[in-house]
Amino acid sequence: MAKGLERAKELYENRGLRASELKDKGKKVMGYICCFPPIELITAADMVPFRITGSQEPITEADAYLETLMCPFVRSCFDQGIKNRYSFVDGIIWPHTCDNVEKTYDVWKRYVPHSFYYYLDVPHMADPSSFEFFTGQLEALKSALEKFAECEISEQKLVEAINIHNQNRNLLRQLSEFRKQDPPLISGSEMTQVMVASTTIPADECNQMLREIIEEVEGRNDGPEKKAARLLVYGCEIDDVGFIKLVEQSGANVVIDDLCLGTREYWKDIPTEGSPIRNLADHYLGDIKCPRTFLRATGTRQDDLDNRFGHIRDFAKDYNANAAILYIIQYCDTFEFDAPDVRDYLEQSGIRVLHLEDDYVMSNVGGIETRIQAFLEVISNV
Amino acid sequence: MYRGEGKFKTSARHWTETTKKVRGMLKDQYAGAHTTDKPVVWSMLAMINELYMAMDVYPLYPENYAGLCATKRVADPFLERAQADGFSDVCCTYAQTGLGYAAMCQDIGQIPDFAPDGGMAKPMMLVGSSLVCDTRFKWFQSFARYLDVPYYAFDMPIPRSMRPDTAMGYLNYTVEQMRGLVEFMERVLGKKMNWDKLDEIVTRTQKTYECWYEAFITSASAIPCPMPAEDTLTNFAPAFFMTGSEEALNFYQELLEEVKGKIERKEGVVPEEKYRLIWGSGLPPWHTMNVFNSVEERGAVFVYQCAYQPFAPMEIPGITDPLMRMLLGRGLPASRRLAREMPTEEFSLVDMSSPAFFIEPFKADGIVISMLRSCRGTSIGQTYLKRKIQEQAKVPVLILETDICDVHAHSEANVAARFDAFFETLESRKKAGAS
Ligand code: SF4
Ligand code: SF4
Repeated sequence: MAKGLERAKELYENRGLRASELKDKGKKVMGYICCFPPIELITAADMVPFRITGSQEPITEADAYLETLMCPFVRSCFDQGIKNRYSFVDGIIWPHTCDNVEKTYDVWKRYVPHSFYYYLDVPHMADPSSFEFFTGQLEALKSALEKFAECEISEQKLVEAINIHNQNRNLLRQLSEFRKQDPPLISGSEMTQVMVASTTIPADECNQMLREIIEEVEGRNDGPEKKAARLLVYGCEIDDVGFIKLVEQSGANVVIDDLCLGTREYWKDIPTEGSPIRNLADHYLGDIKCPRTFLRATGTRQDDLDNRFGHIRDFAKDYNANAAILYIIQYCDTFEFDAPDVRDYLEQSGIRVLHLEDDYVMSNVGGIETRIQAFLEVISNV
Repeated sequence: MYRGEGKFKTSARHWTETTKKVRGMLKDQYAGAHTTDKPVVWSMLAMINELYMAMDVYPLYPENYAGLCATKRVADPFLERAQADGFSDVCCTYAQTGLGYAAMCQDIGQIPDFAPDGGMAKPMMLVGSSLVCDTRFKWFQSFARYLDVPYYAFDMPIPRSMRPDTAMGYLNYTVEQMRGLVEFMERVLGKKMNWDKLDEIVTRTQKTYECWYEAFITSASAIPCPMPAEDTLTNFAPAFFMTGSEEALNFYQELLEEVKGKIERKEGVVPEEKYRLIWGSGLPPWHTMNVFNSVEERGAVFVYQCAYQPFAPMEIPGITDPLMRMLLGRGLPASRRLAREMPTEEFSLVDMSSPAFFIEPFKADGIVISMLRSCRGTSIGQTYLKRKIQEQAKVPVLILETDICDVHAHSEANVAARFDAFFETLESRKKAGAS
């Protein structure tokens, strides 16, 4: 079996590889979409958490079921689903992330066969009452998973699962540290591969893979070359390396991100003291900074912006990124609405910004490339 | 081909006298906001107007204002202004219009002179919610770019099961969120909510909703139909934007009387109805509302529209918290009241919004759905619905691609051609049915 980065690449290219093997051995595979379903519950129920992603393959079947004027990432996921690419997935947990994901659940449930469907309501607000409501939602999810997996998710099992996923996050943060050097020891596209791969296998196997990768990266001398620019990429779901590679080939290193398959997933650990379900609720609703979760403004406008976007500015500073690209998927409304604020906020912090809107598969790759090149030229002249 | 009266006209011609009053009522609402002593709030629709009334706050609804700008065909400069700031042209065009308006007011230090009805008076606070779509709380967050006023957003999630344990969790959470809004207003305004007054207003709303419901449903059930969708797409406004007021109650009492009279006298929009249509899911193209009248020349009438449906008020004895009463009063969609049943298994939100339900009660021959370029809230699921309706109800479904405020997303030629084909299908079905 391949190891380390090679293993990640293999799993990235064939995402169902390990999950199908495990299914053949009698394990249940529980699919989920987006960052919001607590995968710790899946692990604690002794099932394999498997993240549903899209594909760069042209959408051919989804058009008959879903509108073209909605999030192309979700459409692509559905296209994969309707083409039976997820036939090894026993069930799915579908969170109320945004309008696109919320409404697609109904269509998915009707047309993509699984043995278990679960709609998880995630509040948009993050008030004390929202955390309480979400805790109730997670309790109900836990019961449903117990029934489906025919096992009890004891408090101890759940804490163990939280621990093992925390290790996962910790290892990803360690790996991320290698991006601070110039040139970074691991490229942005490799990092995306690792992220995608890590969502297709059980957490313990993932930890093993990440340890191998860390060892490999630490000692490597075939890492990325030094380039004129160090960039941060901000956006939602990037589950393909195409865009990041394009940036890297245009003369920049992508050294840090604020993405769903990126730091948004692994930046913060889940506490293990206290009620584990409540801790999950606090983490998924409180720690994941995605524009779909509303953060109430307190204080001045500047305080509000610091609260919403300060972490992006800090990432750029800590990783010595001199510019940022906002990669916004068209029709992803919550990101579309935040984009002007993110752009202005970062620019006011001295970080140059390129704001791109794309259709997820870069149909207009030439146009995007030209804009990236022009941007890199501008920032290298500063 | 449009029934323009005199000069070229793109707004709709209305058939009920009461409906013709709405324009004036809304005009007064916008004008009054400039002179009132009350603090002005800009609010998203979340069916909470009673809270504003009870707190003596003057509400304006930017989404309604955006629709007005589209009807007057002056939305373009606002859309362009929002886009110049980096908002995508696929963002909800209500939002773009509102943001562009606020940005222009900031740019020039006054309301642009082409803004209809004298523009929206500057607010003292903003209120958004998560009801229906993400835009409804995100857009108002973006207002902070141009308006330095406090903002409160609250959650209104929709349960996917009416099992009492599930539904109660949702109701309690929403009530807590509404209580948060009351506390926010109390803080901003420095005064307390008058709960007794609120309770009175809620009672008036329930009466208003009863009349509203009856007017819409009896009209849609009647043959010939006296009040078509172009009317109900206008006269829903008092129920939404003036909820709880005497004015709204009087309005629907009058409307109901008028509808009943017309039914008695058998006065229909189209005397010999050839086709009865339903404007299914999707909001209308506000810039080109005469599209509704255009079908009337073919002997067709839109007997119902699913965009702004009346609530079927429900009172549960023993519930006294006015916030809970408010919520329950709008908790039930019309289709459920007609069906007299509540699903207890997990149901599909998309299916719940299906116009299919109304085919039988309103004896409809076809459904027209508007797919809006800029609205995920109402557009996602329409392809699926069309598929399902054609499979199960076997009624022709036409999907029109358009937009609420962006006239450039609407092609009159294309719409006319689509209608031609649609009527051909209706015609051949009719013939096949007759033979
Ligand atoms: S990319 Fe945006 S629109 Fe698409 S699923 Fe994620 S949050 Fe929703
Ligand atoms: S439902 Fe559609 S039109 Fe209404 S605010 Fe949401 S996105 Fe805009």
